[in-house]
Amino acid sequence: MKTDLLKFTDSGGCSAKLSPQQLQEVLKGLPVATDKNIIVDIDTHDDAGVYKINDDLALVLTTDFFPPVCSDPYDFGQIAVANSLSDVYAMGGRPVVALNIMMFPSDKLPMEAYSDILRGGYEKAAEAGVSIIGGHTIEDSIPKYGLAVTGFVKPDSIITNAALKPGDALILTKPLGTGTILSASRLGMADPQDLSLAISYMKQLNDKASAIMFDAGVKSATDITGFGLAGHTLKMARASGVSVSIDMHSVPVIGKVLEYTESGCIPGASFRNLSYAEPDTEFDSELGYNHKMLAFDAQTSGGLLMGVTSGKASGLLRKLQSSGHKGAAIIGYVSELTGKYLYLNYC
Amino acid sequence: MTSLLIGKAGLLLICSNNYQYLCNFNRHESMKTVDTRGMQCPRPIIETKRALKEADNGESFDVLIDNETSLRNVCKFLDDNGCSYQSQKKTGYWRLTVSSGMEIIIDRPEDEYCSTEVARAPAGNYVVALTSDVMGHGDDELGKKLMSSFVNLLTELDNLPAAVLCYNAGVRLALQGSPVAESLAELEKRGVEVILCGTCIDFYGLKGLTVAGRTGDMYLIAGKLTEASSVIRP
Repeated sequence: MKTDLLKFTDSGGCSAKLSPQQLQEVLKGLPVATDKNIIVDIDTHDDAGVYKINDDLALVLTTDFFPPVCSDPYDFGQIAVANSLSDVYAMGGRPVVALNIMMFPSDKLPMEAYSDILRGGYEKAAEAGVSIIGGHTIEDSIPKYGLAVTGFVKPDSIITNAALKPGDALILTKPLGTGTILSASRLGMADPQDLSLAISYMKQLNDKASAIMFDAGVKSATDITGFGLAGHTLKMARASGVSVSIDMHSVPVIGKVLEYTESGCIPGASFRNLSYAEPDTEFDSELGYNHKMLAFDAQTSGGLLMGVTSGKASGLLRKLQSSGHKGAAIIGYVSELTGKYLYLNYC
Repeated sequence: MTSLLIGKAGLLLICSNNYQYLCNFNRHESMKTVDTRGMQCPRPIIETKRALKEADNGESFDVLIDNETSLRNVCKFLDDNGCSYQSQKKTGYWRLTVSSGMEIIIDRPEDEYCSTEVARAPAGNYVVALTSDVMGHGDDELGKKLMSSFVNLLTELDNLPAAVLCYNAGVRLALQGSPVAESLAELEKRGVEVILCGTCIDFYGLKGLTVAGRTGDMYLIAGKLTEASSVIRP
């Protein structure tokens, strides 16, 4: 019988993250690292930490793992790895080596599933030019997989959360909706075509998008994952000290995701993300409920969100679209900080 | 957008101009019940939404929910969609009575609905018991914020409670400087009886420091509690 990983988990992917408020609360109480070679740490809520080796080289370090987001072990391995590497890409780095992190119920699942997850992971890592050089597995009732990744970046060309400038246009490279589609699929509501579309987006590496934005001189970007488009955008706006306006009408969506939202299929993570961002967000009166909740949909292995000088935006967009990111779009702009950090509009 | 247990009433929603519904509370004898107990998130929302769509205008229905996360999410969903509801804690679950009466208002000036006429609706026959200055269990700072929004929102309901009873630490809500003292006074002005437990005021040494409500003894409080058709304890 075919293994169905989803039978082993309640919440999957980046929606399994701890709530951003809880996380912030806990991190506040921890000692702050003081090593002067630390260039980027959790201070700016960035995607990965960066440690300077010398003027030409810094290490980008990140880890990510989660319970299954799909039934097929191989697909799960691919998605988990694409997602783990994404943080390095979001910072303009090049992932180089990685370690596996795996939790697996060997008494409940055939070892074939274990090797299929890893095979998916290794093949995705190979596609990215990353070598997996070790790892660690422990027994756990719910399978979980991901990587601890080390990448390289030039210290003076790191792309961070904190460098949005008023006048920048914002480009998103992948359509939204993986959280809702996965949730709808668990309930048997999702069109199988939408599910396979979502899976293919989650498997897609952010490597090309990263290289293109790096070449275009982008200074500020992040990848959209568990806190949703609104949550991650808010983090950027706060770290950069700017206001960001997003036009939800121009945000691309996967398949019929808005229909699932209309049926009431709104994952719990969306409400968590909403309550986190709500105090700092202004909602346009034209913004309907479904589009509003889409902004808070937790993405697994989502796209990059980048700020680019508006004059360069359409050129950059064309390059992204012709390199496998057909769903990329300009979705908003940055302005001086006035009132709220985030404005969700519908134009 | 902060109420957890009682949704915004039509009046406020119209002013917030996001969702233009006017909700009415009409409890019917044979009310439909949507039992979401045992269902995983987001099934309770899907079922609630389905019931909202199926319900006739003005019809109310009950939703039974057995876990706090789903309760919170369903309440937030109803808040954001402009539906009013009341929540009752039962043993092992909550009963939400949701009003489906959505009268869609189009092309009418906002101020027409923001007039104080609606706000002077007659008091209902339910009673609110404020037994603490925090709402829910967990973080007290959060609990205080929630309680503030709850009491402040009471003043915006179409269907005001007959009485608000403050006992134990709930009497602190009526102190000078309390974030809800003004709202309690406002409720009183609109005909809601605000009763503070005298024993509790003495116990906490707060005599002379309250700025809303009148003190009452257990006779009065017990009477109000037992006479009420439903008691809301946030």
